[in-house]
Amino acid sequence: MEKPWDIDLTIYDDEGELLAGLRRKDRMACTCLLKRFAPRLLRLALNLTGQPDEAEDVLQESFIQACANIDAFEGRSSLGTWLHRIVLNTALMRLRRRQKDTVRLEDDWDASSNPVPDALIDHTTEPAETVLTLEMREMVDRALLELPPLLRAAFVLRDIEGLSTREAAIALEIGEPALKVRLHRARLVLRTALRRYIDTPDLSTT
Amino acid sequence: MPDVPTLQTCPQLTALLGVGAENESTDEGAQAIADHVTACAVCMVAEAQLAALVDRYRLAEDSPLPNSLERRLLDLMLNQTCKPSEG
Repeated sequence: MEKPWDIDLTIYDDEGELLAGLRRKDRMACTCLLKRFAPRLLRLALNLTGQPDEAEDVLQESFIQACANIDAFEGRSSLGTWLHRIVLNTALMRLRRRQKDTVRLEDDWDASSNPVPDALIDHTTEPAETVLTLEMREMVDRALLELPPLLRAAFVLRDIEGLSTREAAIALEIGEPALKVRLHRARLVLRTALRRYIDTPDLSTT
Repeated sequence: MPDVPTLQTCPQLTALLGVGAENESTDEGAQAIADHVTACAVCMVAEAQLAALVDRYRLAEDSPLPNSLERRLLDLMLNQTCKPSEG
């Protein structure tokens, strides 16, 4: 018997056909949906929640919700965009709930602390010439996870997911000035944590 | 070797950002930080480089889901939302 995770994904290459399959509750369509979109969405969930277990829960909840409510999808955006929004909202809901319980605004941070450990960095490559390798992406993931939750959420929403300042502030239920300050704090921490992956021109001539 | 500011740790920006929460909600505090970042050569370069790195991060291909997670999610989705398989 064919395993659902071993199916030929090309049968649903066309998004319209995938959508029709999902509406028929076809098992292969559900499998294709997961295989096509889940990897990117897991990264989104992890970046926002900062906790692998919770990110997996977000992903699970979101995909079940999406499949169960596929008839409500009106097709005004792509399936990927629709799923992205579901995952974003699910993760934010959990984040807000957690913040109300445990996270303080003045969550400790120190721009000079928590750089990516040297032992994990490949010194054999030249930063200016290096494309974003898998290892480098993992270093960015790691640096994001090291950020305090409130700073990470601001950075992920604004700088990675591309929300406007207003949209990100609304999503986090804070004012725009607070969002901007958190964003700058996050960037400053990341400038330190990822220093080996960004160019470092000689500033003595400036 | 001349003593120059490091690219990643501009002391002025660090001071402006502070550690406490007091300046989080004021327009003036946010504006002062934004003004500094757009005027400071160190910060301008560092922020542009961070932005370039983030751009590459956004475009990077994602790793497949771990097998165990993929199978768990598939089992749940297929059992809860799909028709039973035929045969």
